[in-house]
Amino acid sequence: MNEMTEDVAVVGGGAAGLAAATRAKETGAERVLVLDRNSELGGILPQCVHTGFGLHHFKENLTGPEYITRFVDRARALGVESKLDTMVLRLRPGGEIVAANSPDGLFKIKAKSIVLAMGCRERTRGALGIPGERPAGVFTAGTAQRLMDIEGFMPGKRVVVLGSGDVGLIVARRFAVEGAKVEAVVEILPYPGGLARNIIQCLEDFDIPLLLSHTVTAVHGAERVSGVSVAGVDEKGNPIAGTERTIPCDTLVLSVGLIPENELSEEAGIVLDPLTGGPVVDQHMETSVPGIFACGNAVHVHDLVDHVTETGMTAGSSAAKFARGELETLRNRVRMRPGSGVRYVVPQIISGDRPVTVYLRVRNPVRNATIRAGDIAFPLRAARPAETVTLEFTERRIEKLIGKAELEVGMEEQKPVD
Amino acid sequence: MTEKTERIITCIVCPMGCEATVSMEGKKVVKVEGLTCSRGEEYVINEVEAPMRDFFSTVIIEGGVSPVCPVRSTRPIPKDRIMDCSRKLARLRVTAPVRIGETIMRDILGLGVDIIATRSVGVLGEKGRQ
Amino acid sequence: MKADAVIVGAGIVGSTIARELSKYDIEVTVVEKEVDVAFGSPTKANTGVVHPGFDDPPGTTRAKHCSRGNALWHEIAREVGAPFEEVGSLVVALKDEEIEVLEGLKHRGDTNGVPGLEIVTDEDRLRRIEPNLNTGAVAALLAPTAAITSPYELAMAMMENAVRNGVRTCFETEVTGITVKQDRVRGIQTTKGEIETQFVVNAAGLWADKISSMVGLNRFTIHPRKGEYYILDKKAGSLSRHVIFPTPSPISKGIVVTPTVEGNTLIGPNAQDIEDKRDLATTRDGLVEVWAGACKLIPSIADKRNMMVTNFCGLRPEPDTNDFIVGRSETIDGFINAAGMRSPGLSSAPSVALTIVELLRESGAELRQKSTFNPMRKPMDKPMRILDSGSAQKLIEQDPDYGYVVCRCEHVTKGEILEAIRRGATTVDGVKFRTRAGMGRCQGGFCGPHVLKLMSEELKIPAQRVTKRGGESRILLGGAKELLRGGDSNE
Repeated sequence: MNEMTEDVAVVGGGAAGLAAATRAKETGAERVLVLDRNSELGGILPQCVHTGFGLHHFKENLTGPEYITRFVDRARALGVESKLDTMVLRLRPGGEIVAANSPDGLFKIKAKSIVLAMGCRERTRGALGIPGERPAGVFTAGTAQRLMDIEGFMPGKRVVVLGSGDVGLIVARRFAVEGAKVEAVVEILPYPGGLARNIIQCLEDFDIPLLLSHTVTAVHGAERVSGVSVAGVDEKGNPIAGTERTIPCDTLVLSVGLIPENELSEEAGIVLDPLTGGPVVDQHMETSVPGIFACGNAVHVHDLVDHVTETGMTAGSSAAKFARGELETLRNRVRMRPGSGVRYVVPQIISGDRPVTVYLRVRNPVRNATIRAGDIAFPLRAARPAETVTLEFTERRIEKLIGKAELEVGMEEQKPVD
Repeated sequence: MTEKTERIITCIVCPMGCEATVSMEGKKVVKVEGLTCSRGEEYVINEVEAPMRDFFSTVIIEGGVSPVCPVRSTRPIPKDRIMDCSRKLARLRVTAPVRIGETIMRDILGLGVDIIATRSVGVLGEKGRQ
Repeated sequence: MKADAVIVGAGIVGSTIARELSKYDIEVTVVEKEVDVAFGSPTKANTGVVHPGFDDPPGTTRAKHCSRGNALWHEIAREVGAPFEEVGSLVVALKDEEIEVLEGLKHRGDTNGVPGLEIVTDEDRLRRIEPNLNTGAVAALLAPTAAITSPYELAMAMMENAVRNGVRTCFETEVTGITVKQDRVRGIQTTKGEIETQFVVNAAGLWADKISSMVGLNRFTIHPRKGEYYILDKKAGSLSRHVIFPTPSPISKGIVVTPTVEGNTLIGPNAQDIEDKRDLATTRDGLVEVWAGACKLIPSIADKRNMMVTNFCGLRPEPDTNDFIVGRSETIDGFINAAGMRSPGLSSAPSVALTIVELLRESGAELRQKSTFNPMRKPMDKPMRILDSGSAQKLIEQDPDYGYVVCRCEHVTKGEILEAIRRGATTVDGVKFRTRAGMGRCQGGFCGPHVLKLMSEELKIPAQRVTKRGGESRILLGGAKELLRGGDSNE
């Protein structure tokens, strides 16, 4: 098998991978190769035609394609190499990559450092176990979006969306703007999963009903979807008898969860965090295998691409330094663990001797809360599970961590003032 | 006598999500209650009197490496004109190549806003990336 | 159109009979109302077990054909390049009272000529041969000749070989009538026209009673018995080594836990008698029942809920005769049944096919062996999954499409997808069932759009006409902007 050598190999050419590759080049790496399974770089961004990208990173309000074009162009200008229509098949425990494409066939890559940026995949109907028939017309939101906004088709005319996270809301809006009828967005929780701005701009703007505390209990249709049954649910999410009704439609779009893609990470023996679905990383974005770094949605599902870019840049510069043998070891390794009210914390390991930005997700919507990391307090005016909270561990705050091996990061809600 | 109405608007400027009670006379806002900052007040008033939205969609490309090209409005448009803009662009056929930032339609529907391409699309069959 | 013999139904039974008949100098046409081989639910949604033959009382047609079929499949599966793994089975007794049932099954098996049956009561040995088995198991009937296969792959391979040897197939062709004159079959009518023939083999699965009534014979009815399944991710590991059965009930062998030839775990089916032969919906209660049944045998399944890949159901063609209906009509010459062949239908198919040949002869068919019959079928190349890297590389050099991986979860290449289309796939499911593209954990989320485009290019049809499995099951409902242009959305 043909073998290639690189300084930094990046698996995945989306927002995370391109941020890592460009940063690796900017911080002195010589041979940087990005591998991507699509026929163009950009990952999921080219199909995200809406605005809202880059508000932090560029201080501009860009669409997905505009945002990522800047990184694609920069990567090209810096001499980042890329192989497209290329699938990474294996990541061996020693770090050897096996990949395949048409021109090269099967080939190996030996890289001094690797950045994993595979992104995430969508939870499927099958994984949820939604009963019923198996007609054509059931799509996950990202696939429907690709069919519409990359391939130029209409996947459906009369749509029900299951899941009110941002992805589902955004795709509901796309269907509406393209002239389809979106009958309802169905949400199992008693509150919407996505941002308030998206509830307003994707649902209210288009008079799309939001059915909270409801779920899809069956799919109907022998050949193409003819309708879905929906029912109210109790606090445990179980359907309430007698509340079932059928909504006629020809398309069911599922926005029921994103799962970080880590088949390769698992194969390489990288330690994963069951709370995020992605690798445990330290503040260099290094995984448990020295020289293998991870960033973007492969580490945890982000809501802002600007954060993805940040983690990508960190991983890229760490990978470049590692390739030169210059990545400084963290003097301490403080393991952060989520406490009450917190779902997860990334990076999971910080050094406690220099500033770091830590990302966190809360379990439930809160107002007037305080995040406590040991003795450090972070006031939090408001937070929702859909929005990552960023904690800036500044020099001053970091001092309090010296000597700690573990740190619980939990939340206290303040009693509302009457 | 202009009609007096009240509406509840959730502010989206920051994660606080304050709920504002907006009193209106006809189409003008006369009072806003329940907010905690001035940014919120500006948003709520605009949202009630003249809600604007970024417009973004796709247009059909002929002869390109992709069948559609994503586009956006250069500035926000009135919320109630979104579907009109979408229908207007639906009839358009743009020939490749298209350059990112290129004007696809000038002054759409007389709204004083252009529609521009948000990515480049090369010509099908020509070598080299766009 | 004319044919010497028409086989109604292209499930595992119809395909096996077709392949057997293709050994003879006789023109055979297979008519199938679905769009592809095995797309009727009994074969497509099937546990894929080749049973040893101890389940049925000696003297029944089932018993006669099952162990013989099992033995025949070893060679035939190899010839047609279909997967076949003799993993063995365990019928598990979870209570002491059930041991008596196991003894009864063993006795039956011994009488039916099933080799190697053994009742294992040593709990240590049970643990060794099946580590994840419920520690409450008191005994198990071990049957070494139980095997697993992929039921649709097997049927498709048989039909491919049959076609290679001269059999004609007509899909999306439903039989609407059978012409009988002077008590003799003269032809069949279908939704696509008439076929003149003197011999009709009824392998119509769920609809075999309907076909039989077309010649005026109403001696049996087929009612659908629904069975639901779950497939678990390959990542869940090897949850069982054997096919694990519970002690059987009067109506069903029970909810099974089995490895698949691909490395997944398949659990199911339950058994629910229903009325509607078109009811292919999984149900909340049925799925709960299947999950519970599997956990009873392999308790560690209980914490694998996040490993569900998908669920589906099939309908068994349950005959009211409580046995296979294999025979030629006494009153109507030329009409032969291979009906009611629910479990062990797949296992028995090659043996039944031999009997069908005899029955055709008895009915007056002249069957001379063809010297040109080629039993061998070359299976599809799967470079990323099966070939060692040397042969994979050679394959890619010959055809670069084998280097382009389209289905990320199952590592299926463009070369395979195009080959599947060449071998008969005309639908997304046709590609899926031949290549596994779309069967992985993302369920076609990534590869779906690519497969759609490849099919459109290869079949030279607009993408909007590509279907999931024929009929109205179109994947797309229009092109960009059609709904906005108001008016004709059927451009």
